[in-house]
Amino acid sequence: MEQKKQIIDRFKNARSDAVQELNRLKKEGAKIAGYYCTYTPTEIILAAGAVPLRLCNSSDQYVQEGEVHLPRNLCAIVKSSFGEAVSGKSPYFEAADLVVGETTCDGKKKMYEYLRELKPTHIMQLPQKNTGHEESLLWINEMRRLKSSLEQEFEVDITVAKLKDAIKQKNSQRLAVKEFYENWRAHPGVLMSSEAYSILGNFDYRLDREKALEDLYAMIRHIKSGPPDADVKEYDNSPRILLTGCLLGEKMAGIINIIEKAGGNIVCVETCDWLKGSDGLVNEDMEPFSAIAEKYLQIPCPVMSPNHNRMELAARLIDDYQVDGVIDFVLRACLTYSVETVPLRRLVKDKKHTGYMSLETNLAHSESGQLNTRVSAFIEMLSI
Amino acid sequence: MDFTPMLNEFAEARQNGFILTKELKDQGKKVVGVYCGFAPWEIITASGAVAVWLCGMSDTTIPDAEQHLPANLCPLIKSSYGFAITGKCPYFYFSDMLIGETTCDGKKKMYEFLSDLKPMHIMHLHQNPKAEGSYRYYRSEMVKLKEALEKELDVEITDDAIRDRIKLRNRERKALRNFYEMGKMVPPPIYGFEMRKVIQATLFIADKETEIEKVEKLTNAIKEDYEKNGSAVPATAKRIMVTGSPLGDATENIIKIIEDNGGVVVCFENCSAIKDKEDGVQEAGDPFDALTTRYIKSGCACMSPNDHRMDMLSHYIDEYKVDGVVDVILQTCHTYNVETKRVKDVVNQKNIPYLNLETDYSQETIGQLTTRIAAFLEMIN
Repeated sequence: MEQKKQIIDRFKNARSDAVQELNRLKKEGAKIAGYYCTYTPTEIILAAGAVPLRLCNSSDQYVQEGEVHLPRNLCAIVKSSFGEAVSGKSPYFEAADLVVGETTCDGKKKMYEYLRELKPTHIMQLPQKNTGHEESLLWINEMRRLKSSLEQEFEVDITVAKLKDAIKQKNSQRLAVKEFYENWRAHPGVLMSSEAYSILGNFDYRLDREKALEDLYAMIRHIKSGPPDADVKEYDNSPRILLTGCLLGEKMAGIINIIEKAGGNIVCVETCDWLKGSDGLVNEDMEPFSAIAEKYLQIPCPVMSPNHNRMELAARLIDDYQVDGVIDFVLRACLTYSVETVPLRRLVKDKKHTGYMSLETNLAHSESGQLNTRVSAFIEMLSI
Repeated sequence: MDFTPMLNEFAEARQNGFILTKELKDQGKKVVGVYCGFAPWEIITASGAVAVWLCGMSDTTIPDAEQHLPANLCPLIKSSYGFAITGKCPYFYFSDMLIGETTCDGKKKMYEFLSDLKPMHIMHLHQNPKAEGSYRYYRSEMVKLKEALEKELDVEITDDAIRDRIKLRNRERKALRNFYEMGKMVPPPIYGFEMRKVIQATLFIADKETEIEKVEKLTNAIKEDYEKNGSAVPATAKRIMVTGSPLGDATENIIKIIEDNGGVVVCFENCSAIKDKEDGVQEAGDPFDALTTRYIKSGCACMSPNDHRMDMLSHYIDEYKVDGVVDVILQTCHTYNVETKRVKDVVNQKNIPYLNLETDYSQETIGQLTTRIAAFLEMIN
């Protein structure tokens, strides 16, 4: 097997490697559909024969550019994603032939209004509740609207057979992700949490999908067979940590390092780029639009009100992974996650008698010192 | 005829409403607390209940709210929640039931806590007024609102009862339109500060027949006085339109500063002002269709895209001969805040100046606001 490091590097470099891959794809005449959020049903994009390209920018590189046009007191991901789009310098945004967004949170919803001025844009109307007949109908109808937009924009036919193929393809990726993190947990000591995060956090950004899947399976085999590496710590008595909250991207990788150094053992990450996006499958036996709609509407994002799914998921994860402490990350000015720290704290502390800390942050690395102090204190408290 | 006593009576409506609401409650009337305009008043009051306005407008309860809610949240939401948990708002106290709507992120998530305190019905909203499916969805939510009221208040709401309320509300809208359209006169007969007192007061008056009569009388008296004595507002006053987030009592300061520095607010394109009163509801036919058709046009920034607001702004700038637009954004009100860029474009296309002010309910920023507003008004010269 290839060196572990080489495989992990391919994940770490997903965004930069995607530039070359995009060039190649464009030359071959491929259509690129950019998208931002976990709610985008990429199955429909795949069924259109197009390449889904995740544009959600969780680095702080373009935040300032975004602030030229958007209010400063707004979530950094929204500012950075718009900043990247408007800069005219992003190889990813420039490569997209069409951009797909959803009316998720206030910031994104309103930001998309300006994206329309830069690119052909299709906005899906997401209901704000994930139960109920009318909500279901509305969301299924949005699947069909997306299909029509893609067909028109890319001059293709999206058939039921193509949709079913795409559903199978995405499900197999979700199963691989699940197999990966379950094996990672079952064999502690082979991969550090930061390494696991590098793999899963970048999986969606890799455009060489087949190779990415191959790499994921190679890592699974490595985990299963590999002896514990000398450089991976033994975690026997370390507090077991569940991370939840906003997507933080590169910043999260840094935070995971801090937690590991402080002696924490991260057992699960319930964010968009890990569990929130990959949990659950699309039913392969149902009518495809209904099946896709059903799966995506159950994503436990706090834009849903009420968002019982996230509370249930957190309760389940705390039990399944025997969690000692939960760290809940909130990007500054992300109102839905911010308000939801209240019920989550109640659940974790009062019902599950587990440690809880919420951390408000942005995407800039300048805050690492303070985060370091707070995270270390939390881990220390749990270790007593 | 001196209309000042009539104006003052309106100014006291919120305070007087406390006692009146208690009396109605003692008579066995049900009270329904509302926060926003997307749940039609017509359906709520067709139940026989009194609708009371609960939106928190002052900063007194914000520190209480911040014990549960994040500090970086809109002051209106924190204030509303603070009033609910502290018991400092008699209207909340009297409410048998609360109605909320999934408008903005902050309100939507805050309402999740309110339902622990009182029976609450949440009306779920579409997010794009023009998208296919939105009409059907919103209409179904109107029917669900009716059903929730019927169940909680143990009453039956007939279509005829809703139609009656539609007619009454239309008459109220018309009376208020006639009142605030006096702002189109040059110079306007009264200051915006006074005008807003009246518009705001109507939120707290349960007896609409009497209210309509009083608004009409007041309008006539003001017009009569204008004919005879002219206006207290100088003809040179800069004509300002105020738009943006819902205005709390504390943001009244902004109006005062504008009018103390050579301006006059001739038009309020905010909730419960033009946004709410401009179009009537069709009186014939299915009341749910009529209400959906009207309310889906509400030009709130929580809708995306919110083209209707842009059209209204453009139209009223001309109608009211506006010299400058002041867009007041409550701190962390993301939807109105992000929309400022569009508003600015609309205003600038009209070749008039635009000022964007971010504020909360505190009194601390008054000095800075005065400097900026005074400079803005001076620039209009």
